Amino acid sequence: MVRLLIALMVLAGLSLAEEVLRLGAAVSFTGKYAKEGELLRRGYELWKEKVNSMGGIKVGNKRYRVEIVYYDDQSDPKTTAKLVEKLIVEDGIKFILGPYGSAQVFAAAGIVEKHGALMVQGGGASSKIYKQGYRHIFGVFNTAPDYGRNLIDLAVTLKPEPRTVAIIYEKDIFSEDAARGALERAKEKGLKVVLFEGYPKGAQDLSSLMIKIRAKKPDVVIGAGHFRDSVLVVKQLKQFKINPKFVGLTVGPPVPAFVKALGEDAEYVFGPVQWSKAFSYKDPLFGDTRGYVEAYRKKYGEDPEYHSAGGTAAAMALQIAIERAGTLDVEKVRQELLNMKVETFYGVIGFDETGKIVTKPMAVVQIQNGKPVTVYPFREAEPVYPKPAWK
Amino acid sequence: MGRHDLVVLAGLLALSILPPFLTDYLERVITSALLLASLALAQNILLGYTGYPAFGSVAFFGVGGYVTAVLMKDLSLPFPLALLCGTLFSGLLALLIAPPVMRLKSHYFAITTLALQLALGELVANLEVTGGAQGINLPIYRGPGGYLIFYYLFWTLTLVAFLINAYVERSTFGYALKAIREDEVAAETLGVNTLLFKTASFTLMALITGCSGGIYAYWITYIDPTSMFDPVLSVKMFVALLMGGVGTVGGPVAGAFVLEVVSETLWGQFPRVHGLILGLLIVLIVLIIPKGIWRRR
Repeated sequence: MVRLLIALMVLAGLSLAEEVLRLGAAVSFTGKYAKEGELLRRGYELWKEKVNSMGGIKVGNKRYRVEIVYYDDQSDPKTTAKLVEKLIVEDGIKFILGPYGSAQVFAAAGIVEKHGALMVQGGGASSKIYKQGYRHIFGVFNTAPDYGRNLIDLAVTLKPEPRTVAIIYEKDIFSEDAARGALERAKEKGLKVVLFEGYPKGAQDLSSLMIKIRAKKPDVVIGAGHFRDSVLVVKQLKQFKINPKFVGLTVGPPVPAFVKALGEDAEYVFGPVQWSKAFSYKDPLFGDTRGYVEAYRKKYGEDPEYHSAGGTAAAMALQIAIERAGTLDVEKVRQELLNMKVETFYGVIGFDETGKIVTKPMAVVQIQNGKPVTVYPFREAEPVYPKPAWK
Repeated sequence: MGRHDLVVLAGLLALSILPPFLTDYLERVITSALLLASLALAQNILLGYTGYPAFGSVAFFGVGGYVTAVLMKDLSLPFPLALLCGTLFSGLLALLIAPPVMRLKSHYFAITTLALQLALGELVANLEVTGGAQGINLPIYRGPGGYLIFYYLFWTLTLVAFLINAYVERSTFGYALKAIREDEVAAETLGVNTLLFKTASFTLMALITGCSGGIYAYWITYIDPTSMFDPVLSVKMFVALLMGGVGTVGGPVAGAFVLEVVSETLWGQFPRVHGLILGLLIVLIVLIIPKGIWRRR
């Protein structure tokens, strides 16, 4: 009996002696981003369990078991900054997994830069993050211009090919960026842009724009705005009896409230999303996207959506970079992130020199029978095109 | 100043020589506590001495922060000048709106200031010059002293706010405010120009709060409407003030530090339920010492 105990203790001792790599994350468990923060954490945790079940992260000849130290930033950027500083200074952690929310990402970025640590984040989609000259911040979310680009990318694959496009946008940074992405891509693809015009923020009526659109009879209408604008655009297109073959809106269609607000009129509208479980990519950890979705479902009892997927992808990018660098040196890991171009369940992950992901498409969904289904770049269902006239 | 307040003053002065012994993280914790202390001291002038609760005083925090940030970003003003403008602008705004707002009493007044905070937040979210909902980025401060500069900025502000409170406690100006707090009609009968004194008190509060917002903006490097006009910040400030003792000079500082230290220890230990524990603690403190750590004499 005593021997058995001793043997057990030795075993326990051995397993404790295993090297541990600690990562840090300040995410929101409380406050207004509590839900998104929890989804992000689930993404990180799923990755951690998978990596540890496969023996941990391999750095050179050593294997490290992964531990993630979490703090609650209470959805407050001031707290995020403080906690990230705590993670780096007190806990001695060099690799940070990002928080949720653009303000939080900015707050964390300042601290990470200051201490020369490294952060990979799947919590902020603002393109401004990449215009600050930060060297140690990488992000896996597509930024605003991609919202417009991917809609055009889809439109030009459809038959009969559309020839003309009208782009309208709300005058705020995000929407204008998205509209410019669409404009640029439309020109590249040889579409004729018949209208490119903004409207003031919070506009309640777009009649004058609608009259212009009706006169031009475009095949494609792209609306870049926020949720309320998206609903307004659909309502007014119908009211003015404008029947383009393709209606794409940058924000709105994937959200259940969109169908609720518009009912039948929401049918066949297109909209981009960061990630969809209908993606089909190979993955070094989970086999492929389906493997990821199943692992997630098994652990949490529901389908993953893009917040969690972004978290897993961010952590995975960091892991791959560390393994390739073969060292825990921040500069070398950073270099590997810059060199990276790797296929994962999330899409191909690769960054430009500002740390922004540039190799991954966004998915585009279409409302069919009251539900958003993915039609691009992978087809859960065939896209309905040309769009039938309003009822 | 009573003996208690001298202890707080000594503590504050001691903080000025502490930084060499602090890690960056502890430095940041104390900086946060000083920020909260400056806000609580500002509110104390109004609520503690004049008896008017400005639930939405964080409105001026946002204004100060945004003016500072916009001036630095768009006009490339150096930080000290931008901060000065931010502070003065907050004060000026307060001076302009005080005459109508300060005619309201108790909860009507409280709700009006809260409305001001929310309305300004919406306004800022919809203006071009403030970057709308996308917010404004400021450069990371890399000058001499590093982030220690923010520690000392908040320290100085807190010290100044503390001295103003001490002055209010003992001066004729302060007696007028206290008279208003105890009985406004009586004060008026005794010849106190109540509107003038209330306006002065409101403006002082706004100046300190605005200055705090300006320093905060540069310290955190990114501001957006939700974080600058955050109701949670108002709540924290009020908790610190109530915990420390409304209407005392040292109370707001003590309350801010206790709250900051307690919550800091808690969320490291209990990342998920710290809010619950903190809430219980606050309830207990209010039940056991309803007048705060520093009782008003």
